[in-house]
Amino acid sequence: MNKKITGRAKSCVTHVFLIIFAFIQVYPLFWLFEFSLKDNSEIFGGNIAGLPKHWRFGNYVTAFFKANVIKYFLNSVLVTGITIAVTLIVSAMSAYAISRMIWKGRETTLKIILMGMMVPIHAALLPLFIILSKTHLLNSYASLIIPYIAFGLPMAIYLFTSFMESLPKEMEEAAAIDGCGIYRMFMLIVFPLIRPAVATVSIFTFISSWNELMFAVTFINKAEFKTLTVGIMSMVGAYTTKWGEIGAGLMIATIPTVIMYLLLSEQVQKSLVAGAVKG
Amino acid sequence: MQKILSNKKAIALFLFPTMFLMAVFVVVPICMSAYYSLLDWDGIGKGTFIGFQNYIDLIADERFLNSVKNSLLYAACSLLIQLPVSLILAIIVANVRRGEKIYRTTFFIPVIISSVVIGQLWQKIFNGDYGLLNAFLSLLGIPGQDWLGQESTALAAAFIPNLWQYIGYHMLIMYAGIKSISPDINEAARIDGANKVQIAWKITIPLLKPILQVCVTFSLIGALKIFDLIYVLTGGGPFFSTEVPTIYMYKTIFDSFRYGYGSAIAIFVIIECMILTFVLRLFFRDKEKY
Amino acid sequence: MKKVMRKVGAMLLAASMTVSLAACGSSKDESGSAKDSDGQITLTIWHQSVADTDPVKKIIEDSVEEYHELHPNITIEQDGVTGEQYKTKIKTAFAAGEAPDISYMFSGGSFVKPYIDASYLLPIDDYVSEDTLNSVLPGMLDGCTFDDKLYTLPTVTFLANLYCNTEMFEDAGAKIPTTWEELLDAIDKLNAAGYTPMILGEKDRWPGMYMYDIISARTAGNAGLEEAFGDPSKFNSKPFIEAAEKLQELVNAGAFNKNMMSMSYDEMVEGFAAGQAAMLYQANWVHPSIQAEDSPTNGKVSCIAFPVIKDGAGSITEFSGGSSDGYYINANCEHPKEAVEYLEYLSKKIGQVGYQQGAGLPCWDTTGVDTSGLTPLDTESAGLMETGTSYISWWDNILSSEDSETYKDLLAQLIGLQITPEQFCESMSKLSPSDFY
Repeated sequence: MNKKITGRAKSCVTHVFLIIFAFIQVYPLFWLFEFSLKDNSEIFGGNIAGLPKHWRFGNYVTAFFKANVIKYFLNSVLVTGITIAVTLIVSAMSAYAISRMIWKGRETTLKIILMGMMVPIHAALLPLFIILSKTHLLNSYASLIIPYIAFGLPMAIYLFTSFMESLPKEMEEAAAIDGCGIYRMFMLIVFPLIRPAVATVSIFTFISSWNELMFAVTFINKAEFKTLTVGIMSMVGAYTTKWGEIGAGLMIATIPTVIMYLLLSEQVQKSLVAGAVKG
Repeated sequence: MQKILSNKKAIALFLFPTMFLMAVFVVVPICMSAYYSLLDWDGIGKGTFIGFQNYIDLIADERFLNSVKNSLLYAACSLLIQLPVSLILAIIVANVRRGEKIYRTTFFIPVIISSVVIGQLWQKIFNGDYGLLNAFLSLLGIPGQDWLGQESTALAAAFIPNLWQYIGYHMLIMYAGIKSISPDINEAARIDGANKVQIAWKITIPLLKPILQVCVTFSLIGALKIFDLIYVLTGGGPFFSTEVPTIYMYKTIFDSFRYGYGSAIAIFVIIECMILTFVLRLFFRDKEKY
Repeated sequence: MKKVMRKVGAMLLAASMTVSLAACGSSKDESGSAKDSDGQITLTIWHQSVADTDPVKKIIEDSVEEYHELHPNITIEQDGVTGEQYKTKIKTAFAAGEAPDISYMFSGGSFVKPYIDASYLLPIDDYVSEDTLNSVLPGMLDGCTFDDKLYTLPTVTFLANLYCNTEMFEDAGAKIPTTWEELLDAIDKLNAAGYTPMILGEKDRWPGMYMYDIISARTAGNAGLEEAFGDPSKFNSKPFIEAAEKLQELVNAGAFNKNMMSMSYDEMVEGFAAGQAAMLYQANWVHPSIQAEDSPTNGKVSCIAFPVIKDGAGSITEFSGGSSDGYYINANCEHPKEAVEYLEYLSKKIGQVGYQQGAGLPCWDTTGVDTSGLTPLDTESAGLMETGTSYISWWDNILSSEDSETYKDLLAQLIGLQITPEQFCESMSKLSPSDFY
């Protein structure tokens, strides 16, 4: 009896602790929301954490109409969408070759690919710019999509490889006995099996390309191709900036990320759990 | 089956897109940076080839050494503070009976918010004038500080948001690892009379080792490349006290027009990452023997 | 398989070498301009006026259509990015040989000068019309001229002033200062009344630079500064040490906000506008923040010249500023004549309309321009400029980029009381001579 009570008390303490921590983790979203409804005098004045005195929904109106956010938003959707789709296909193929197929140098290849994660992105800016200019890709969606894919691949391949290694081989063996070739096997058997990992790769690729700023600023000169982060940053003035409107822009940019995550989080869980054993 | 999986054409086809993209857009840029690092070049006009002079200068550059020290310190903090905290949280969340799903979902949220937002928020928290932290301390009667503006506290203040932001990330990976451990093992241990802490220490953590290695590697590489948040929070100041190599590199290239020298720092970061991940691998392999 | 891999490897290697060799070779080839068979010309311009708070944004955007109407064969393509990102972008584009026909450049040694030295930019003497030159105010072409060649035209100019919140001064019983002693006295009184006397955002390092720029101009005089730029060993002399001491004197007198080291430029200006301090030393581009509709200090701010220092060689009519960032033409531009014509049109337009809307002080003949839209603060600041006898640009326009960084870093240390005035001047004396003096 006594033990049961202490046990319950303990679990209560644990929950209180977890709830506090959960609150801390969600607070940035809440903070961004109230930030987006303020003006400079509140943001830089005394009222930085409290609710705004006047709820300035006008900030959203400005962000939407003056800063052309809708157009940039669609561009971001397009760029990020294609980036995710191509990254998924390309990395799943390579991960399959690395984790399942039989050839020498698989380990080494994987290690070399993972080195891609170590490049400090700012140093790659000029070389990439030169490559894109020589290939006449500057000022197109491709000038963003291709580098995003290239820099997203190491992580994606890593996640897929560890997930595939955890999958049982029976399905493929059965398919092989039925006379299924390698390409059909990959598309019809393997790809459906790795769905949870697809979610994980999608969300990571989404986060990095959706929020990317430096490439997006540098590789694009035409308003028609600009992405959302660039659009929001263009509200930062050289000498004067209305931060509340930027907050509204950031809120508009953040909501899809959160929705995307909430939709995929269950699958992300599954894939990480499945891929976990092999590490 | 063997035959199908040894299909050389298929292997080449599967690998080609990755190899091509990474060669052209990752390897070539690294090679170009490596070449620039051998130049005395301002990013304008023609550079002069000076061999390894930039690297020789780096070794004697106190500001650079300080920045390396800071990033190693940060790496140490992420290994010794961030990962253990994530691990403890992961174990707790994996063991609670109710609300598991809500916790692990909310804990991940900071990871998906852009650094600009996180940076702005923490600036308001640490603000020496009207910051949240000072307001809280004043309730306890403790005088406020200019956390990001004084050398004694700036480094810690710049590190904390970074450490915090990715706790949810590592927690999620570790949580997944714990969930994949068969419940039978825990059950057996419980029958043998082990309490929760003992189970965590003796069973969960050893079984998690492969996952921990992943977290340690990611965390280390991330730490050595850390840029965004520190740049927003302090810009490397005051007096270089929070500068890390990537920030020094950025300033050298784009503010001081020293493209060659900055590229040398970039190459240094890549090599540093490679060496340290290699050392880590050795460390983990060594442990495996026992 | 090995064979295949080797082939692929060799191919990739070859591909990568071509790319990198091409990159290392001539970095200048095509620029963005193009001419179709029917005589259509496209000119590209990059600028950093993107926020709605910047009146120049609208001027440039409108000019695209207006100019096309005036010259149907010319199409202007404009692209704007702000601040730090703009610098990164334009530097990368120039390094890769992909710079636009016309680009906004920050003037002076730390930005535009290296491009001029490397012949990336076009001298416009041969193209610019006499009429245009005549309507530029006297002296305003100086900042656009390098090695006796004209590279750009001025637009509006900026001048650093001391902005005082008159309400706080009155409340504290302090006098608007004209001398150093009065300044110190005002600081004491403001402190006593519970106000932060002066706001400084030293996180970005350049606001502190403006402080030392003007204090040393007061101790050494603009002539003395010019001498030191030409021969930096002069920095290690009495007037400069004195200026450094004066700056630390301000710090020790509690002139600045305690969180200056973590305060950004934005927080500084918005903080002043929100009434967090009584004084701000900045250029007149801060007016929009102070005059914002919701700004509590709107209408309560007056601007004055920085106080003089007794026995100093500088006078109250010497100013920091007067520099003009401007639009520069790519040396590879295929239509230099048309580009210069547009430059004349745009610079003059920004000069006149921008002045009208309070974007800055005029560089162009403004007779006949309707100035009724100017606020009292704009007029006050324009009045100060008329009293000016000599201008020295911000030092990061004068020093090389590397030295500018060193200077700003040293200054942050000086303000943070990390180094003594003597150490500061000793380090300053080791800078390279400026190309401009």
